[in-house]
Amino acid sequence: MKDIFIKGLISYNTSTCMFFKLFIIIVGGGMLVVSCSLFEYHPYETNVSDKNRNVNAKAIERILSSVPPSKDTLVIIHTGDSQRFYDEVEDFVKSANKQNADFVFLAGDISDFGLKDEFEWIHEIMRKLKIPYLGVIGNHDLSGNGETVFKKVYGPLNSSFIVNRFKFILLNTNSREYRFNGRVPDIHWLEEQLDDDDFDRAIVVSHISPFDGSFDRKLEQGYVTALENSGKVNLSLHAHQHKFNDTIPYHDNIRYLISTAMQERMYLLIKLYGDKYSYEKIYY
Amino acid sequence: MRLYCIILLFAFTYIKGFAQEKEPHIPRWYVPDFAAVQYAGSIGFFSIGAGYDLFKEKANVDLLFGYVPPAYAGDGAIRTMTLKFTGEVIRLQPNPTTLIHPLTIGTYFNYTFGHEYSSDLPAWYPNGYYWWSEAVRVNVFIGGNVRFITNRLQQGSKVTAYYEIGTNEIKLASYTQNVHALNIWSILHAGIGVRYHFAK
Repeated sequence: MKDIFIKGLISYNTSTCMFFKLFIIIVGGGMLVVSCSLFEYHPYETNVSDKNRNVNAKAIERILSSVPPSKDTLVIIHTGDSQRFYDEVEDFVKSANKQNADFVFLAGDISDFGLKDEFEWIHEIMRKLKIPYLGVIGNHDLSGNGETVFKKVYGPLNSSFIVNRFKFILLNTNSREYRFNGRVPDIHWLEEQLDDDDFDRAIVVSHISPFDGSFDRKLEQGYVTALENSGKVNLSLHAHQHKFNDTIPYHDNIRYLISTAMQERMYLLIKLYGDKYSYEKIYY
Repeated sequence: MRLYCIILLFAFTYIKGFAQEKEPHIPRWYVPDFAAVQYAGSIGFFSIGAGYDLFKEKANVDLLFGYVPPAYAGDGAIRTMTLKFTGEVIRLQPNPTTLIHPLTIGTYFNYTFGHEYSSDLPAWYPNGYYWWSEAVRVNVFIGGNVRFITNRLQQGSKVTAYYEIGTNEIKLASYTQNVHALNIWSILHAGIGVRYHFAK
Protein backbone atom coordinates (compact mmCIF):
# COMPACT_ATOMS: atom_id res chain seq x y z
CA MET A 1 0.00 0.00 0.00
CA LYS A 2 2.75 2.37 1.07
CA ASP A 3 4.72 1.28 -1.98
CA ILE A 4 1.93 2.15 -4.37
CA PHE A 5 1.49 5.49 -2.72
CA ILE A 6 5.19 6.36 -3.09
CA LYS A 7 5.28 5.14 -6.67
CA GLY A 8 2.27 7.22 -7.39
CA LEU A 9 3.87 10.22 -5.78
CA ILE A 10 7.06 9.84 -7.81
CA SER A 11 5.31 9.47 -11.15
CA TYR A 12 3.11 12.38 -10.22
CA ASN A 13 6.12 14.55 -9.41
CA THR A 14 8.00 13.81 -12.63
CA SER A 15 5.00 14.77 -14.71
CA THR A 16 3.96 17.68 -12.50
CA CYS A 17 6.01 20.37 -14.18
CA MET A 18 5.07 19.33 -17.71
CA PHE A 19 1.47 18.85 -16.75
CA PHE A 20 1.06 22.23 -15.14
CA LYS A 21 2.65 24.01 -18.09
CA LEU A 22 0.28 22.28 -20.45
CA PHE A 23 -2.63 22.76 -18.14
CA ILE A 24 -2.03 26.48 -17.97
CA ILE A 25 -1.56 26.79 -21.73
CA ILE A 26 -4.53 24.72 -22.87
CA VAL A 27 -7.14 25.07 -20.15
CA GLY A 28 -5.99 28.45 -18.89
CA GLY A 29 -5.99 29.78 -22.45
CA GLY A 30 -9.39 28.32 -23.09
CA MET A 31 -10.74 29.74 -19.86
CA LEU A 32 -9.36 33.17 -20.60
CA VAL A 33 -11.21 33.23 -23.89
CA VAL A 34 -14.45 32.06 -22.40
CA SER A 35 -14.41 33.62 -18.97
CA CYS A 36 -15.74 36.96 -20.22
CA SER A 37 -19.45 36.40 -19.59
CA LEU A 38 -19.70 33.32 -21.80
CA PHE A 39 -20.51 31.00 -18.91
CA GLU A 40 -24.22 30.29 -19.08
CA TYR A 41 -26.03 28.15 -16.53
CA HIS A 42 -29.19 27.61 -18.55
CA PRO A 43 -30.96 29.28 -21.51
CA TYR A 44 -33.68 30.26 -19.00
CA GLU A 45 -31.28 31.71 -16.43
CA THR A 46 -32.50 35.04 -15.05
CA ASN A 47 -29.34 36.82 -13.85
CA VAL A 48 -29.95 40.08 -15.72
CA SER A 49 -27.00 42.47 -15.46
CA ASP A 50 -27.55 45.57 -13.34
CA LYS A 51 -27.31 48.00 -16.24
CA ASN A 52 -30.27 46.32 -17.97
CA ARG A 53 -32.66 46.48 -15.01
CA ASN A 54 -35.72 48.64 -14.23
CA VAL A 55 -35.98 50.07 -17.74
CA ASN A 56 -39.59 51.26 -17.30
CA ALA A 57 -38.98 53.01 -13.97
CA LYS A 58 -35.92 54.77 -15.40
CA ALA A 59 -37.92 55.71 -18.52
CA ILE A 60 -40.74 57.24 -16.45
CA GLU A 61 -38.19 59.23 -14.45
CA ARG A 62 -36.69 60.54 -17.70
CA ILE A 63 -40.12 61.32 -19.20
CA LEU A 64 -41.16 63.31 -16.13
CA SER A 65 -37.98 65.37 -16.26
CA SER A 66 -37.81 65.80 -20.06
CA VAL A 67 -41.45 66.62 -20.95
CA PRO A 68 -42.18 70.23 -19.93
CA PRO A 69 -45.26 70.51 -17.64
CA SER A 70 -46.70 73.12 -20.02
CA LYS A 71 -46.61 70.77 -23.02
CA ASP A 72 -50.25 70.08 -23.94
CA THR A 73 -49.57 67.71 -26.85
CA LEU A 74 -47.81 64.42 -26.20
CA VAL A 75 -46.24 62.53 -29.08
CA ILE A 76 -45.71 58.80 -28.61
CA ILE A 77 -44.35 56.04 -30.81
CA HIS A 78 -46.22 52.74 -30.65
CA THR A 79 -44.60 49.55 -31.87
CA GLY A 80 -44.22 45.92 -30.80
CA ASP A 81 -43.25 42.37 -31.70
CA SER A 82 -39.49 42.89 -31.90
CA GLN A 83 -39.09 39.12 -31.43
CA ARG A 84 -36.14 37.79 -33.46
CA PHE A 85 -36.08 40.95 -35.67
CA TYR A 86 -32.89 42.53 -34.30
CA ASP A 87 -31.71 43.93 -37.63
CA GLU A 88 -35.13 45.58 -38.07
CA VAL A 89 -35.06 46.96 -34.51
CA GLU A 90 -31.79 48.74 -35.37
CA ASP A 91 -33.50 50.39 -38.33
CA PHE A 92 -36.51 51.25 -36.18
CA VAL A 93 -34.24 53.05 -33.69
CA LYS A 94 -32.65 55.07 -36.51
CA SER A 95 -36.08 56.08 -37.80
CA ALA A 96 -37.57 56.81 -34.36
CA ASN A 97 -34.60 59.04 -33.52
CA LYS A 98 -35.62 61.32 -36.42
CA GLN A 99 -39.07 61.90 -34.91
CA ASN A 100 -39.87 64.61 -32.47
CA ALA A 101 -41.55 62.18 -30.05
CA ASP A 102 -41.63 62.11 -26.26
CA PHE A 103 -41.34 58.36 -25.68
CA VAL A 104 -41.84 54.89 -27.15
CA PHE A 105 -44.02 51.91 -26.25
CA LEU A 106 -42.65 48.48 -27.20
CA ALA A 107 -45.94 46.63 -26.81
CA GLY A 108 -44.96 43.04 -26.16
CA ASP A 109 -43.27 40.04 -27.72
CA ILE A 110 -40.03 41.82 -27.06
CA SER A 111 -38.39 38.38 -27.06
CA ASP A 112 -39.29 35.28 -29.04
CA PHE A 113 -38.33 32.52 -26.60
CA GLY A 114 -38.36 34.36 -23.25
CA LEU A 115 -34.56 34.12 -23.00
CA LYS A 116 -32.63 36.56 -20.83
CA ASP A 117 -30.19 36.92 -23.73
CA GLU A 118 -32.97 38.08 -26.05
CA PHE A 119 -34.19 40.77 -23.62
CA GLU A 120 -30.62 42.03 -23.27
CA TRP A 121 -30.01 41.99 -27.04
CA ILE A 122 -33.17 44.07 -27.61
CA HIS A 123 -32.34 46.49 -24.81
CA GLU A 124 -28.78 46.92 -26.12
CA ILE A 125 -30.31 48.16 -29.40
CA MET A 126 -33.25 50.09 -27.93
CA ARG A 127 -31.02 51.99 -25.53
CA LYS A 128 -29.66 53.81 -28.60
CA LEU A 129 -33.00 55.63 -28.76
CA LYS A 130 -32.65 59.31 -27.88
CA ILE A 131 -35.99 59.18 -26.08
CA PRO A 132 -37.07 56.80 -23.30
CA TYR A 133 -38.95 53.58 -24.10
CA LEU A 134 -41.17 51.33 -22.02
CA GLY A 135 -41.66 47.58 -22.41
CA VAL A 136 -45.09 45.93 -22.20
CA ILE A 137 -45.38 42.17 -21.58
CA GLY A 138 -46.28 39.92 -24.54
CA ASN A 139 -47.16 36.23 -24.73
CA HIS A 140 -43.74 35.19 -26.08
CA ASP A 141 -42.09 37.09 -23.22
CA LEU A 142 -43.77 34.68 -20.80
CA SER A 143 -42.13 31.58 -22.30
CA GLY A 144 -39.60 29.76 -20.08
CA ASN A 145 -38.63 32.07 -17.22
CA GLY A 146 -39.50 35.14 -19.30
CA GLU A 147 -41.83 36.52 -16.64
CA THR A 148 -39.00 36.67 -14.09
CA VAL A 149 -36.65 38.19 -16.66
CA PHE A 150 -39.27 40.75 -17.81
CA LYS A 151 -39.86 41.87 -14.21
CA LYS A 152 -36.14 42.40 -13.74
CA VAL A 153 -35.60 44.20 -17.04
CA TYR A 154 -38.81 46.25 -17.27
CA GLY A 155 -40.69 45.97 -13.96
CA PRO A 156 -44.21 44.90 -12.92
CA LEU A 157 -46.45 43.33 -15.60
CA ASN A 158 -49.21 45.84 -14.82
CA SER A 159 -48.10 49.43 -14.26
CA SER A 160 -49.09 53.02 -14.94
CA PHE A 161 -47.74 56.56 -14.91
CA ILE A 162 -49.10 60.05 -15.42
CA VAL A 163 -47.53 62.77 -17.58
CA ASN A 164 -49.22 66.17 -17.87
CA ARG A 165 -52.56 64.67 -16.76
CA PHE A 166 -52.36 61.86 -19.33
CA LYS A 167 -52.39 58.47 -17.66
CA PHE A 168 -50.72 55.57 -19.45
CA ILE A 169 -51.76 52.10 -18.29
CA LEU A 170 -49.56 49.12 -19.24
CA LEU A 171 -51.57 45.91 -18.91
CA ASN A 172 -50.76 42.20 -19.11
CA THR A 173 -53.47 40.77 -21.41
CA ASN A 174 -51.75 37.49 -22.32
CA SER A 175 -54.58 35.30 -20.99
CA ARG A 176 -53.62 32.14 -22.88
CA GLU A 177 -50.24 31.99 -21.10
CA TYR A 178 -52.16 31.71 -17.81
CA ARG A 179 -54.46 29.05 -19.24
CA PHE A 180 -57.40 31.50 -19.32
CA ASN A 181 -57.59 31.42 -15.53
CA GLY A 182 -59.89 34.46 -15.35
CA ARG A 183 -57.29 36.66 -13.62
CA VAL A 184 -55.37 37.92 -16.67
CA PRO A 185 -55.94 40.70 -17.56
CA ASP A 186 -56.59 41.99 -14.04
CA ILE A 187 -59.84 43.89 -14.70
CA HIS A 188 -60.20 44.91 -11.04
CA TRP A 189 -56.75 46.56 -11.11
CA LEU A 190 -57.62 48.25 -14.42
CA GLU A 191 -60.85 49.67 -12.95
CA GLU A 192 -58.92 51.01 -9.96
CA GLN A 193 -56.39 52.66 -12.25
CA LEU A 194 -59.16 54.31 -14.27
CA ASP A 195 -61.04 55.38 -11.15
CA ASP A 196 -58.47 57.86 -9.81
CA ASP A 197 -59.02 61.55 -10.51
CA ASP A 198 -55.38 62.76 -10.76
CA PHE A 199 -55.56 62.61 -14.57
CA ASP A 200 -57.86 63.80 -17.37
CA ARG A 201 -57.27 61.24 -20.13
CA ALA A 202 -56.06 57.64 -20.11
CA ILE A 203 -54.50 55.41 -22.77
CA VAL A 204 -54.34 51.65 -22.22
CA VAL A 205 -51.42 49.77 -23.81
CA SER A 206 -51.31 45.99 -23.94
CA HIS A 207 -50.02 43.26 -26.21
CA ILE A 208 -53.21 41.34 -27.02
CA SER A 209 -56.41 43.19 -27.93
CA PRO A 210 -59.71 42.17 -26.26
CA PHE A 211 -61.10 40.85 -29.57
CA ASP A 212 -58.18 38.44 -30.12
CA GLY A 213 -58.53 34.69 -29.50
CA SER A 214 -55.69 34.73 -26.95
CA PHE A 215 -57.56 37.26 -24.75
CA ASP A 216 -59.75 35.61 -22.12
CA ARG A 217 -63.31 35.60 -23.57
CA LYS A 218 -64.72 35.81 -20.03
CA LEU A 219 -62.91 39.13 -19.52
CA GLU A 220 -63.49 40.82 -22.87
CA GLN A 221 -66.68 42.56 -21.74
CA GLY A 222 -65.06 43.54 -18.42
CA TYR A 223 -62.21 45.25 -20.27
CA VAL A 224 -64.53 47.09 -22.66
CA THR A 225 -66.86 48.18 -19.86
CA ALA A 226 -63.96 49.41 -17.69
CA LEU A 227 -62.77 51.66 -20.52
CA GLU A 228 -66.29 52.90 -21.35
CA ASN A 229 -67.26 53.58 -17.73
CA SER A 230 -64.18 55.69 -17.06
CA GLY A 231 -65.22 58.18 -19.74
CA LYS A 232 -61.55 59.11 -20.04
CA VAL A 233 -60.35 56.57 -22.60
CA ASN A 234 -60.70 56.80 -26.36
CA LEU A 235 -57.57 54.91 -27.40
CA SER A 236 -56.51 51.32 -26.71
CA LEU A 237 -53.11 50.31 -28.14
CA HIS A 238 -52.03 46.76 -29.02
CA ALA A 239 -49.69 44.55 -31.05
CA HIS A 240 -49.52 40.73 -31.37
CA GLN A 241 -51.31 40.27 -34.69
CA HIS A 242 -48.34 41.44 -36.82
CA LYS A 243 -50.85 43.26 -38.98
CA PHE A 244 -51.98 46.86 -38.75
CA ASN A 245 -55.55 47.37 -37.64
CA ASP A 246 -57.58 50.47 -36.86
CA THR A 247 -61.03 49.63 -35.55
CA ILE A 248 -63.85 50.79 -33.28
CA PRO A 249 -65.34 47.32 -32.63
CA TYR A 250 -67.64 48.05 -29.71
CA HIS A 251 -69.59 51.08 -31.02
CA ASP A 252 -68.45 53.14 -28.04
CA ASN A 253 -66.11 55.54 -29.83
CA ILE A 254 -63.02 53.85 -28.34
CA ARG A 255 -60.47 53.25 -31.07
CA TYR A 256 -58.27 50.13 -31.01
CA LEU A 257 -54.98 50.52 -32.85
CA ILE A 258 -52.82 47.48 -33.56
CA SER A 259 -49.25 48.05 -34.68
CA THR A 260 -47.42 45.74 -37.07
CA ALA A 261 -44.41 43.63 -36.08
CA MET A 262 -40.92 45.12 -36.47
CA GLN A 263 -40.59 42.83 -39.48
CA GLU A 264 -43.17 44.93 -41.37
CA ARG A 265 -41.00 48.02 -40.85
CA MET A 266 -43.82 50.27 -39.73
CA TYR A 267 -44.72 52.00 -36.46
CA LEU A 268 -47.40 54.40 -35.32
CA LEU A 269 -46.64 58.02 -34.41
CA ILE A 270 -49.52 59.11 -32.19
CA LYS A 271 -50.29 62.66 -31.08
CA LEU A 272 -52.43 63.23 -28.00
CA TYR A 273 -53.94 66.59 -27.18
CA GLY A 274 -56.75 66.76 -24.64
CA ASP A 275 -59.48 64.34 -25.64
CA LYS A 276 -58.30 64.39 -29.26
CA TYR A 277 -55.69 62.32 -31.01
CA SER A 278 -54.26 61.68 -34.42
CA TYR A 279 -51.90 59.06 -35.71
CA GLU A 280 -49.62 58.49 -38.63
CA LYS A 281 -48.12 55.29 -40.03
CA ILE A 282 -44.36 55.66 -40.41
CA TYR A 283 -42.54 53.23 -42.70
CA TYR A 284 -38.79 52.72 -42.40
CA MET B 1 -31.72 15.34 -7.31
CA ARG B 2 -28.28 16.48 -6.18
CA LEU B 3 -28.07 13.79 -3.55
CA TYR B 4 -29.21 11.20 -6.08
CA CYS B 5 -26.44 12.21 -8.48
CA ILE B 6 -23.76 12.08 -5.82
CA ILE B 7 -24.90 8.64 -4.65
CA LEU B 8 -24.98 7.45 -8.25
CA LEU B 9 -21.46 8.68 -8.81
CA PHE B 10 -20.09 7.02 -5.71
CA ALA B 11 -21.90 3.85 -6.66
CA PHE B 12 -20.20 3.87 -10.06
CA THR B 13 -16.81 4.36 -8.48
CA TYR B 14 -17.44 1.60 -5.97
CA ILE B 15 -18.78 -0.90 -8.51
CA LYS B 16 -15.76 -0.28 -10.70
CA GLY B 17 -13.32 -0.94 -7.88
CA PHE B 18 -15.27 -3.95 -6.74
CA ALA B 19 -15.52 -5.42 -10.22
CA GLN B 20 -11.80 -5.08 -10.65
CA GLU B 21 -10.87 -6.85 -7.44
CA LYS B 22 -13.12 -9.84 -8.01
CA GLU B 23 -12.98 -10.33 -11.78
CA PRO B 24 -10.06 -8.38 -13.18
CA HIS B 25 -10.23 -9.92 -16.67
CA ILE B 26 -13.96 -9.61 -17.39
CA PRO B 27 -14.82 -6.00 -18.21
CA ARG B 28 -18.45 -5.16 -17.61
CA TRP B 29 -19.89 -3.06 -20.43
CA TYR B 30 -22.34 -1.23 -18.19
CA VAL B 31 -19.76 0.10 -15.77
CA PRO B 32 -19.03 3.69 -16.84
CA ASP B 33 -15.54 4.51 -18.05
CA PHE B 34 -15.51 7.91 -16.39
CA ALA B 35 -17.30 10.25 -14.01
CA ALA B 36 -17.69 13.94 -14.88
CA VAL B 37 -18.28 17.26 -13.16
CA GLN B 38 -19.05 20.37 -15.23
CA TYR B 39 -19.49 24.07 -14.53
CA ALA B 40 -21.91 26.11 -16.74
CA GLY B 41 -22.31 25.11 -20.41
CA SER B 42 -26.03 26.07 -20.43
CA ILE B 43 -27.01 22.81 -18.69
CA GLY B 44 -26.66 23.85 -15.04
CA PHE B 45 -24.65 25.93 -12.61
CA PHE B 46 -22.88 22.64 -12.09
CA SER B 47 -23.58 19.21 -13.50
CA ILE B 48 -22.47 15.78 -12.46
CA GLY B 49 -22.62 12.46 -14.29
CA ALA B 50 -20.78 9.60 -15.95
CA GLY B 51 -20.04 8.27 -19.40
CA TYR B 52 -18.40 5.82 -21.74
CA ASP B 53 -15.51 5.92 -24.17
CA LEU B 54 -16.44 5.23 -27.79
CA PHE B 55 -14.44 4.31 -30.90
CA LYS B 56 -11.20 3.37 -29.12
CA GLU B 57 -11.30 6.49 -26.96
CA LYS B 58 -11.61 8.87 -29.93
CA ALA B 59 -15.07 9.87 -28.76
CA ASN B 60 -17.22 9.61 -25.69
CA VAL B 61 -20.77 9.94 -24.45
CA ASP B 62 -21.81 11.52 -21.13
CA LEU B 63 -25.03 11.55 -19.17
CA LEU B 64 -25.07 14.62 -16.92
CA PHE B 65 -27.52 15.92 -14.35
CA GLY B 66 -27.47 19.70 -13.97
CA TYR B 67 -28.65 22.04 -11.26
CA VAL B 68 -29.27 25.80 -11.37
CA PRO B 69 -29.89 27.39 -7.94
CA PRO B 70 -33.08 29.50 -7.55
CA ALA B 71 -31.06 32.75 -7.51
CA TYR B 72 -30.26 32.23 -11.21
CA ALA B 73 -33.61 30.68 -12.17
CA GLY B 74 -37.28 31.60 -11.99
CA ASP B 75 -39.61 30.50 -9.22
CA GLY B 76 -37.38 27.61 -8.15
CA ALA B 77 -34.21 25.74 -9.03
CA ILE B 78 -33.79 24.34 -12.55
CA ARG B 79 -32.92 20.64 -12.93
CA THR B 80 -31.76 19.21 -16.21
CA MET B 81 -30.52 16.03 -17.85
CA THR B 82 -28.02 16.06 -20.71
CA LEU B 83 -26.86 13.45 -23.19
CA LYS B 84 -23.58 14.62 -24.69
CA PHE B 85 -21.45 13.25 -27.54
CA THR B 86 -17.88 14.49 -27.87
CA GLY B 87 -15.46 13.64 -30.66
CA GLU B 88 -11.76 14.21 -30.01
CA VAL B 89 -10.58 15.29 -33.45
CA ILE B 90 -6.89 16.06 -33.03
CA ARG B 91 -4.66 14.11 -30.65
CA LEU B 92 -1.23 15.19 -29.42
CA GLN B 93 0.89 13.21 -26.99
CA PRO B 94 3.76 15.35 -25.67
CA ASN B 95 4.82 12.69 -23.15
CA PRO B 96 3.72 9.18 -22.08
CA THR B 97 1.47 10.46 -19.32
CA THR B 98 -0.21 13.35 -21.16
CA LEU B 99 -2.67 13.60 -24.05
CA ILE B 100 -3.87 16.87 -25.53
CA HIS B 101 -6.96 17.24 -27.73
CA PRO B 102 -6.74 20.82 -29.00
CA LEU B 103 -10.00 20.37 -30.95
CA THR B 104 -13.10 18.54 -29.86
CA ILE B 105 -16.47 18.72 -31.60
CA GLY B 106 -19.75 17.64 -30.12
CA THR B 107 -23.45 17.95 -29.59
CA TYR B 108 -25.71 17.60 -26.59
CA PHE B 109 -29.40 17.26 -25.96
CA ASN B 110 -30.56 18.97 -22.82
CA TYR B 111 -33.87 18.19 -21.14
CA THR B 112 -35.22 20.48 -18.41
CA PHE B 113 -37.44 18.84 -15.81
CA GLY B 114 -40.66 20.38 -14.53
CA HIS B 115 -44.19 20.96 -15.84
CA GLU B 116 -43.44 24.69 -16.23
CA TYR B 117 -41.07 23.82 -19.09
CA SER B 118 -43.34 22.07 -21.56
CA SER B 119 -41.95 19.44 -23.94
CA ASP B 120 -44.73 19.92 -26.47
CA LEU B 121 -47.48 22.48 -26.91
CA PRO B 122 -50.10 22.27 -24.14
CA ALA B 123 -53.70 21.51 -25.18
CA TRP B 124 -54.96 25.10 -24.73
CA TYR B 125 -52.81 26.39 -27.61
CA PRO B 126 -53.82 26.19 -31.28
CA ASN B 127 -51.55 23.98 -33.42
CA GLY B 128 -48.30 25.69 -34.35
CA TYR B 129 -48.76 28.59 -31.87
CA TYR B 130 -45.13 28.05 -30.74
CA TRP B 131 -42.74 25.93 -32.79
CA TRP B 132 -40.07 25.19 -30.18
CA SER B 133 -40.07 23.16 -26.98
CA GLU B 134 -39.27 24.82 -23.67
CA ALA B 135 -37.89 21.60 -22.19
CA VAL B 136 -35.58 20.37 -24.95
CA ARG B 137 -32.51 22.23 -26.27
CA VAL B 138 -30.13 20.96 -28.91
CA ASN B 139 -26.58 22.28 -28.63
CA VAL B 140 -23.46 22.07 -30.78
CA PHE B 141 -20.00 22.96 -29.54
CA ILE B 142 -16.27 22.92 -30.12
CA GLY B 143 -13.71 22.74 -27.37
CA GLY B 144 -10.48 21.18 -26.19
CA ASN B 145 -9.08 19.09 -23.40
CA VAL B 146 -5.94 17.82 -21.72
CA ARG B 147 -5.73 14.33 -20.21
CA PHE B 148 -3.07 12.92 -17.95
CA ILE B 149 -2.45 9.66 -16.16
CA THR B 150 -2.55 9.92 -12.42
CA ASN B 151 -1.88 7.24 -9.85
CA ARG B 152 -3.11 9.31 -6.98
CA LEU B 153 -6.54 7.76 -6.55
CA GLN B 154 -6.25 4.55 -8.50
CA GLN B 155 -3.26 3.01 -10.30
CA GLY B 156 -3.51 3.97 -14.01
CA SER B 157 -6.56 6.20 -13.80
CA LYS B 158 -6.76 9.37 -15.89
CA VAL B 159 -8.08 12.88 -15.44
CA THR B 160 -9.33 15.12 -18.26
CA ALA B 161 -9.86 18.87 -17.96
CA TYR B 162 -12.03 20.26 -20.78
CA TYR B 163 -13.76 23.35 -22.05
CA GLU B 164 -16.53 23.79 -24.58
CA ILE B 165 -17.93 26.78 -26.47
CA GLY B 166 -21.21 26.38 -28.30
CA THR B 167 -24.75 27.48 -28.89
CA ASN B 168 -28.24 26.04 -29.09
CA GLU B 169 -30.78 25.86 -31.91
CA ILE B 170 -32.91 28.83 -30.80
CA LYS B 171 -29.96 31.18 -30.35
CA LEU B 172 -28.58 30.02 -33.69
CA ALA B 173 -31.97 30.77 -35.31
CA SER B 174 -31.81 34.25 -33.76
CA TYR B 175 -28.32 34.85 -35.12
CA THR B 176 -28.73 33.57 -38.69
CA GLN B 177 -31.64 35.96 -39.16
CA ASN B 178 -29.80 38.98 -37.70
CA VAL B 179 -26.16 38.88 -38.71
CA HIS B 180 -25.91 42.69 -38.65
CA ALA B 181 -27.42 43.42 -35.26
CA LEU B 182 -26.07 40.35 -33.43
CA ASN B 183 -22.46 39.44 -32.88
CA ILE B 184 -21.49 35.75 -33.07
CA TRP B 185 -20.07 36.00 -29.54
CA SER B 186 -23.46 37.06 -28.21
CA ILE B 187 -25.03 33.68 -29.02
CA LEU B 188 -22.18 31.54 -27.67
CA HIS B 189 -21.98 30.00 -24.23
CA ALA B 190 -19.21 28.10 -22.53
CA GLY B 191 -18.66 25.37 -20.00
CA ILE B 192 -15.65 23.78 -18.30
CA GLY B 193 -15.34 20.45 -16.60
CA VAL B 194 -13.28 17.55 -15.34
CA ARG B 195 -13.60 13.85 -16.12
CA TYR B 196 -12.14 11.13 -13.95
CA HIS B 197 -11.42 7.96 -15.98
CA PHE B 198 -11.42 4.79 -13.94
CA ALA B 199 -8.42 2.52 -14.40
CA LYS B 200 -9.03 -0.28 -16.88
